[in-house]
Amino acid sequence: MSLPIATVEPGATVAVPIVVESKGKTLRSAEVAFTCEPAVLSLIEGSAARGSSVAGDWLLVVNSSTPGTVRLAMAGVTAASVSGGFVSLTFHAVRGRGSSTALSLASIGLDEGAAASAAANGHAALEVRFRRASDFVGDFASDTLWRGSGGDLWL
Amino acid sequence: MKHAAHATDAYVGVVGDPNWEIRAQGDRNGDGKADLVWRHKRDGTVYYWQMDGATPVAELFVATVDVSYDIVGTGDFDGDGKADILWRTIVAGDLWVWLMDGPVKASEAYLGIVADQAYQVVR
Repeated sequence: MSLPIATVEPGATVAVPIVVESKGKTLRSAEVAFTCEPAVLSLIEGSAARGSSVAGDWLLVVNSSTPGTVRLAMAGVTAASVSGGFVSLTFHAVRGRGSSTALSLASIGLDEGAAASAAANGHAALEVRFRRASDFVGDFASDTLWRGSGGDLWL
Repeated sequence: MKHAAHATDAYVGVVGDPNWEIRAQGDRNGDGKADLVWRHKRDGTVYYWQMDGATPVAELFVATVDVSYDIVGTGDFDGDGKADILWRTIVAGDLWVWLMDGPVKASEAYLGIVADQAYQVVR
């Protein structure tokens, strides 16, 4: 299981695709829990979506009632291998916090514990950054605009 | 230009008439890149330059505003990710904010008055 690194501006939303590679093994169910700093990120209710690599008859249940914790449960009648997009979560970057948080994989259970998981890399850094008013390039750094005596402009 | 060191120097263009002044910078269309607001200090015309880095990709008329009003600040006042424009009357000190969507004034709001011109908006 892997999570991306993402950057988001305060007040904006960020979709976090979560990728699973079952490496040919078939699964019938998965339970996953993620944690993050709720003062920085909050899951948008109803935003969790099944990934494209998950069998069509699998059901997704999301529990985010505990701030800072997102629990997902997926199960289906059809046992299937998973390779690629498992689920997508969309978070809202809480305005004004101006800090970063890790979206960490807290636990994972496959086939109700019958299958082993190697999920050591389950960690995503989502950084909430402030855009600078003079950032012309879009790299979050300030640029300096110069104007010469002849009206020529340089960045 | 980044911080104290030159990362790149890019020519943007030339506006030879010194009556045209850049009165605000900031991302006004939500693309993550700062744009420019120009104002003609004699006739009050306001233009918006949509920028892509050092390249002006659009030069759009915004409005003509009486020169008794001055652009004194900019920032995202309504949290939509797009910079807005803060106006102040030069004599009376009335403050207005234009909530912008690119070159379009989506709405405006009266903020109040700071009559004492010894108080200036920190930019």
